[in-house]
Amino acid sequence: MFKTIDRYLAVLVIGFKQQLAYKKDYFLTLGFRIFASFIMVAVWTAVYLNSDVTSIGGFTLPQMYLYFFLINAIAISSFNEPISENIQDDIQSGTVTTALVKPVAYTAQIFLNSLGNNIFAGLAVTLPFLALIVLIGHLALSIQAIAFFLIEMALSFTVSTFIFFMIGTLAVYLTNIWGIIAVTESLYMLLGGGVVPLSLLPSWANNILALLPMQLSLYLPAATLLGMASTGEILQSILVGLVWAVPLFALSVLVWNRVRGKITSVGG
Amino acid sequence: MEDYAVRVENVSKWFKAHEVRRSGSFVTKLLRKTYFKHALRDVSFDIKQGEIVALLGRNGSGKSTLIKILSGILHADSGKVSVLGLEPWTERIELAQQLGVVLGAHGQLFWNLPAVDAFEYMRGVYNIGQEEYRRRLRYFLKTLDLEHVYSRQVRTMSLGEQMKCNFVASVLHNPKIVFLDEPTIGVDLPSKIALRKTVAELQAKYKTTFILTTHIVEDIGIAQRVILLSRGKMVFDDTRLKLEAMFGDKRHVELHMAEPNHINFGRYGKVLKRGETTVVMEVSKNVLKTKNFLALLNRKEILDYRVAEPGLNFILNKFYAKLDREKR
Repeated sequence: MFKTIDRYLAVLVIGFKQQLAYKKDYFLTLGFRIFASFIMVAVWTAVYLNSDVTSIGGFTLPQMYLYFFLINAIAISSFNEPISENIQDDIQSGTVTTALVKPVAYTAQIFLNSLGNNIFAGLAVTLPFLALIVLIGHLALSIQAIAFFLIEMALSFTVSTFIFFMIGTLAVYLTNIWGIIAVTESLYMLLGGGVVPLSLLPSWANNILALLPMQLSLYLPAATLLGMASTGEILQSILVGLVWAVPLFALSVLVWNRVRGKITSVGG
Repeated sequence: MEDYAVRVENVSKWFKAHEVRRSGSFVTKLLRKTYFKHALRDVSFDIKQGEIVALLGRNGSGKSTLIKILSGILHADSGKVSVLGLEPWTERIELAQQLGVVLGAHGQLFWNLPAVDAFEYMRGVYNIGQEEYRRRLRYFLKTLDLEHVYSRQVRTMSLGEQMKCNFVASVLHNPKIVFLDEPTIGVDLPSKIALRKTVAELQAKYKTTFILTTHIVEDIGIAQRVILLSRGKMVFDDTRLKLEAMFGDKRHVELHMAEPNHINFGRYGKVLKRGETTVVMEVSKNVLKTKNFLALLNRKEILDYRVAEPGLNFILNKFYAKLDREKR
């Protein structure tokens, strides 16, 4: 039991350390994310100034600013898109063979490694960015909001891991899946509220999106911190996330069992 | 504990492969031709615990496929494989704990991290005790001259240093069987010797079994036994000495002359190389003692000569040429 935990811990730690080597990249990412937020600030300022309303989809202009700052802070660590890239890289570079001769299941390696990556991204980008938003934006956070936020992030990470894991396994057949990853990521951003807050959408669209797990990754954590999501709404989304997690996990296992025998990596 | 480290019985493996058509219309060129490649055909052998075996063959002969089957990455399409009493592809995780695999230059290392991080990773993944880890690491760093290297980022290391660190990462957990795929590419001569010495020491001390694939002839010297694959078929399985003796009736004679001349060396054997004042010939052992040949050596035009046994390089080349002829 302890031996297994030791093994898993080693994989998690190396995932974290690998990102540590890219410290400078993370400073750049943080800077870029802040810059990207200002683009949305400019866009929405124009929208609000050219319309007569003071609130769109329940958002005042300052709330809209904060929303997009939060989205940019959260997006890097809330959904596990890197797991598909990692699988693709392993297959393209042939390192999958080295991973397959370790006494840890490949699925556990790839999952824990990306968890290590994401924890690092969370600490290096999301956390300082959130601290800035809270300080400058005078965001009043309750303990309950923070607790809900962390649950949403963890659940979002888990559900998105299964989705992007399955996307990643396509690399076994297609070798290069960069385009598929990019499209899925864009869809995730769109359906999750990364492009416009979901409350702006017509109610029929909102009703559909409320049943999908994507909003857990962006819209809901941001709305939770802004105090714009009711407890009922939060609990319902968490329930939706949990309901998605189970079949997606089962499907991932099924997909993996089909794919594992076909992995040979390029050149082998 | 069973005596055999590896048992392979009638193993075959096919691959689906694709080929681009080089002729035909534009459309037919776009469509790939799919065919089945027979990577291994009916291969059988046993390897005892503590043996060092060189697995040789030209590119595409099936060596890597065989190694991948033995380490559980691929499964055999037919036949039986047992490695340390386990079927590799169904009991991969149990087997992995007792295997060391050296593939490529830095497969076990992390490009942006120092090698020591990879060693620490291995300690965790293979559950190596702290004490044992330190002792073994000290030993490897010293014998492979890595003491000043291992805390540097892998990407700043030379290829040879990467190879050595990669080797260390693969054997830190004291595996019972080690697969070495081209372990000395890009490694300088002293390090090559140190690597070979380390392999021999591990074999003597822990009875570690090594299966080695290489194109570097000097590496084969550490193996007691050679298995040769050609187009997926096993064409030779015996001691290295037997292989060396296969074309053992030939000698290489190198002659140095004072000035260019027109002596017909072809009379005595096959001329391998002819320069202005030097000639290298392949001569049968029994020709060497004939009066004619001795007379040649005694001619005043011949300043100096050297007779040598052909190296393994030459023997392997002959062997491959023989296989090609048989195929035709």
